[in-house]
Amino acid sequence: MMMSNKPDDNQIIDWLESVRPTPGAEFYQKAAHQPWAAGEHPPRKAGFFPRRVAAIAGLALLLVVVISLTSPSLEVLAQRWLQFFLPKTSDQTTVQIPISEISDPAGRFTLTIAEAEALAGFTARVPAELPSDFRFSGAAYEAERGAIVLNYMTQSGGVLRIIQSRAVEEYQQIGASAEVEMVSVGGLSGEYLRGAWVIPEVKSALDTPAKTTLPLQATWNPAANSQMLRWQSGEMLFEIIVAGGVENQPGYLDKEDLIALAEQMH
Amino acid sequence: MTSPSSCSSEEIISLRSTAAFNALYRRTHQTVFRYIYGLGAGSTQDAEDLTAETYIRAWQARRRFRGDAQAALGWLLRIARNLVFDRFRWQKRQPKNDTIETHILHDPAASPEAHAMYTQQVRLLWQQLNQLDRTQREILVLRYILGFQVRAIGEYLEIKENTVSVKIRRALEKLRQDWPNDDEQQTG
Repeated sequence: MMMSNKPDDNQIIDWLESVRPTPGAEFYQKAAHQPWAAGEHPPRKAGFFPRRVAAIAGLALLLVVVISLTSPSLEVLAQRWLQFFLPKTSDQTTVQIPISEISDPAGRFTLTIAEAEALAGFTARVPAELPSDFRFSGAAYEAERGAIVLNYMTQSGGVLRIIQSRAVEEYQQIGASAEVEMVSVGGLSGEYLRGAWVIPEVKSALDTPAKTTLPLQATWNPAANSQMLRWQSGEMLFEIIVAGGVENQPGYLDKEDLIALAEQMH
Repeated sequence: MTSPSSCSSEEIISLRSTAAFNALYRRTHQTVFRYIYGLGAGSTQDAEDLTAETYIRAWQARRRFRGDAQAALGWLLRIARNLVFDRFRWQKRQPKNDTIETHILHDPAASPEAHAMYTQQVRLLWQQLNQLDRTQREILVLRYILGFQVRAIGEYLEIKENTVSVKIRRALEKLRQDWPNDDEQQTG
């Protein structure tokens, strides 16, 4: 007997949208030798892992994890009463991350702001003035969240990301020990915290083929050099993540700096 | 022609300098790679080779390019499309792709069984895409893998928005209708 188990349009679309092919490490190694890449840094030799690269990769991984751990769940109601964050019951979690996002953390920021806006269907807010030392390095569109992500970096490896979406019913998952502080962003209620999900085995993960997606254990570290501010304006949800700066050095942003940055976005 | 990804700057860019071309490459290579892969160019390695070839050809022709950032992306995609279709002509049939499972985003909370089932369905879908005509497939790739809006697809392919919508609907309908039943999936 012929069985009927045909998918509907939504399933097909869901499957199509889950396909996110990414070139592998070999592609990038070859690209580094193309004539238009002249003057760029040579590709990393196999097995050579300078500390700065490790720090940046680790930092980026930390940010990737933070960004990927969003949840539309309403479990938050059963836990601490927070508007934008969802504390988990422990400081441990498992995340699935494409290795390409670790080995080439800035690789996904390939769009202009206008291109990301076209994909998202809304106009992005940008800072009227960037913090000193930060420069725009590219934008990305996250189809899963319908979010525009703007990426800014400093020469010393500091990273600033501004994420905006219409997904107001979305919570950022944080560790049980995270301490969230209520703040005011231009008269709107916002939430600020310090800390991040950290993946200890980032270096060994880089040894795996770039095309794979690995389940990795992440631990919430409240002392991690990462801060996050979330707030809502109208139907839009905003999030600023800053990480990697050194306190009292150029390019470092503290809580007040983040709020000031948020208030001058338009 | 008006390119995909509308709304970006209409400022005319020059690709004569190495830095300008490199910036274009960095901004667009992921999109071009996904487009090529989605059109069914074969394995990841095949798509990487064709992506590299796309930029080599664009590099050689960069002095003749004139347009804004949007037009540059459209220009690259057209080069890529020609390369993919040239390859089809020479190979006479759709190349085999056995790497799709490495490019699927999974729900981290899914069980291993659900994960495997999802992978199987996407693999099957990828095979079924070969049943579509080129334009249908290309439109699905632009819409759902590259995330272009219908209007942007119409501008890129130089067809009306309404036509794009109709083609999307028909392509999904064909995929549904031609979807193998469970018996065929097991034996196929």
